[in-house]
Amino acid sequence: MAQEWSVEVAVPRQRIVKRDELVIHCRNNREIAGCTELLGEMLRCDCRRAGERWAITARAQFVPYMYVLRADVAGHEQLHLDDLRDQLASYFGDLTARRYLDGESCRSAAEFEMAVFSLRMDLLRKLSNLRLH
Amino acid sequence: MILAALALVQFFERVVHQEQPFAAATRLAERLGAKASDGGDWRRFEGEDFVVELGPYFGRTPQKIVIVKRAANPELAAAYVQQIFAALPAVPDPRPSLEVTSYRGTLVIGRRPVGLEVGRVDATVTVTLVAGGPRILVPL
Repeated sequence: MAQEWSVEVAVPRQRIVKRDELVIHCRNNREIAGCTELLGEMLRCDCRRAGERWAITARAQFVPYMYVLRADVAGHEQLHLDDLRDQLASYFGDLTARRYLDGESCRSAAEFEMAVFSLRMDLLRKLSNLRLH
Repeated sequence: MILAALALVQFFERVVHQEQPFAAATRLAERLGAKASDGGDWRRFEGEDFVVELGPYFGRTPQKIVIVKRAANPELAAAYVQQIFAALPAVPDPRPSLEVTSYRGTLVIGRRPVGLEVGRVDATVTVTLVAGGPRILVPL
């Protein structure tokens, strides 16, 4: 049986920058010490038979890139990445546990989830900030 | 200064009209005649009043194109923003307003989504193109 879901996060790359560059890359005028941007973010959903019903399989990937003023800031950014991964695990657990009466309704739901993935990631990012700041 | 702004708009226009804008960006940036520097997984091209930065590179393709333009005054910066939006091959989603100072949306180029960010603070404008669609930013 295919794995129901997976999240592939590339090893974060880190770049130490000056404050004026940080403002540009992090798009933030506040006194921040760094940011992580998530590039290449993608969700691929497929449908499979699960007994008499249908279920979604999901595969997400993104590449984190950190811009920080100092190397020691990266530890906190890693906490955000871990938190995002945990939130995605919970979301994918729910998503892949759902069952659909037929393939068409499963595919419609899968297409919807792929289309709104960027918005969902934005929401998870906001929740992560609330939790860790 | 106005000529430099035109060259920068022209660079942007050429990039976004390519079938594969990120693959073509390095070659087009090299034609800017700006001072180039290399940071390993990024490259920077600096002119008198602008910076074009490409990267991070995955393989030979930058995943992001950042264009920073320092205009002589906020009015010229606002005009530059209008030129940037006018140079787009299609209307981005959401549709930008005329007096935009901060924008984040999506373009479709060659059937692929490209994130577009435009920010203006006083006389400085930052335009960012992101491969694959809008990037998520987690500030610290």
